Amino acid sequence: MTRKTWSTVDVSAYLDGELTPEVQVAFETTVSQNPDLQHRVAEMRQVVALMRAVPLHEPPRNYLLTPAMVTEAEAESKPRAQRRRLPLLMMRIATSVAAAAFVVASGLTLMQQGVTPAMITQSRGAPEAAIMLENEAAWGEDEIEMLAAPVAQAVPVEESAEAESAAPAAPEVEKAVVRAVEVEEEEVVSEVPAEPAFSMQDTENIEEPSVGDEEEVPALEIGVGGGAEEPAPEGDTDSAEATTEGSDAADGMTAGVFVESGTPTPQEEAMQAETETAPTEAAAAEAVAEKEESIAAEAPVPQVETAGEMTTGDDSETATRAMPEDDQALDMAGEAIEATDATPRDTDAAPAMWTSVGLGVITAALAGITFWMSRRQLH
Amino acid sequence: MTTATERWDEEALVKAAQRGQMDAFNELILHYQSQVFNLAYHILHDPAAADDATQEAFISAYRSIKKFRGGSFRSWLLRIVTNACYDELRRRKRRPNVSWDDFGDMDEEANPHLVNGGPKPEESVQQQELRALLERSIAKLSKHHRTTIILIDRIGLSYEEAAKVMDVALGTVKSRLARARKEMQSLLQAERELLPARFRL
Repeated sequence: MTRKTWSTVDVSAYLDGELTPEVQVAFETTVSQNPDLQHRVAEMRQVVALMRAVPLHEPPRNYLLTPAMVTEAEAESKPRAQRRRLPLLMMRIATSVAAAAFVVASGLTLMQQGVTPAMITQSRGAPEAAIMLENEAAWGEDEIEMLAAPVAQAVPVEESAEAESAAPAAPEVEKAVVRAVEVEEEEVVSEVPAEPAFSMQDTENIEEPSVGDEEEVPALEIGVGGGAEEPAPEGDTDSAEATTEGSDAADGMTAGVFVESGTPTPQEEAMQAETETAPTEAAAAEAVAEKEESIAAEAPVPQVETAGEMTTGDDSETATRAMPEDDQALDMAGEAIEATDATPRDTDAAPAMWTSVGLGVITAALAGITFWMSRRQLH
Repeated sequence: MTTATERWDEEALVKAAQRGQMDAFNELILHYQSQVFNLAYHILHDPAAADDATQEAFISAYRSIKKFRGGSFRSWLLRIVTNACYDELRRRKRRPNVSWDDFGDMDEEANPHLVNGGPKPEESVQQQELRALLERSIAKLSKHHRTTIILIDRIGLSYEEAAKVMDVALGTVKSRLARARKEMQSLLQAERELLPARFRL
């Protein structure tokens, strides 16, 4: 066995006879041929000799034990051990409490999240109904303007029927409207649990095809005298959105009848104010309303069957019928808005989740400290 | 170096101590107290603290002698005092300032803590200088190097016993000892004019 270099560890172990026989033979062979290694061995040997040259200190006294010393030491060590254990005990309790809080918070968060989809599904119609009625309230102004120039208007009841209600007035346009918004409207119609703003009569109207309209457009019209909706040119359907708004405007006119007849409630005013903040929508609605006004002026007045009874284009009658329903509609809108405000599930879930996360972090930190303290006490 | 007879005696004394015979344990104390004290003295570099650590280690050893499962009683005992000294070093690190009141009676006759600090009258001046030089140099080593070189070069433990005392692997003992010796060599060379001629490096 030959090695080119020998470490300080080898030299040290060689001096103590701790090398294996084979390594020792190799080391001695190298030492005999290598003056540098010889010098290193000599220096370290001198250090070891120095360390052993001076005798140990004599202990200052005897450390013989007596039973009293042991008893006293035990008596002293017990409270000391208890004192030493106290912080650990406190940390364990704190960790347990934090862990329990974390579990509870997590459970609550999960529960909340679990309930949320159902709640959302259940209350999904409410905000949309609120928006719908809000728009209706806003459209009231338009309707008032429209009433200044007597025009027969369709009386849509809700947003689902809004597009449809314009069908008799402009069947072609309305067909396009219905097609364009049918998909999204269907969802709303299906999810709105009730027809809060309108009577059963109106609800029935929604499901009933209007006279003279063979399409599946369920018209909800209360006949309005003095004007007839003439089919709009096909090319008039510029865009689904514009047309939809047009029909909305028409709806708004109907709602306006309600507003005109009754005193506007604060909710109504608030909703109107909100609508006014969206000038684009209002302007579009106004534009379409004007358009429909011109159409109505040119067209004959058809009689529309509504809920099995024929109604004439009597504005006052329509308004009279609609007034109490309008109040109901506004009440329901307010309730819907309150319901919407009262169930902000998504926003509530975030702080709860962060609370859980925070508690989890605290629990982990406490557990880590407790573990470290336990280990430290063991040693 | 302990003989086979002494080992047997040691085993008997240990067993007697485990049965609660304090006298048997005191015999073990008398046999090992010098090594225990010197180890504590060199680790702590403080005679008073070494005295306390030694007493504490013996009391602790007696109270836990029943847990001793055989093997080298000396290693087990030195491990207890080593741990006590390391605890003391940790306490010092947390509370570096020590009040004079902690030293108690400053009369050397009444306070054994002050006895071992100075030179011994029976030692020659040359030996006293050499002891002082060695202790100064040992004190400059790291805690683990200091313990290793004391256990092997001063107290005379084998590598295996030292490994048990420090609860480390044999290879660790070898490397720590080699480094400690190398450091000591450098430290002593720095003050080689103080060394006796026969020890000059």
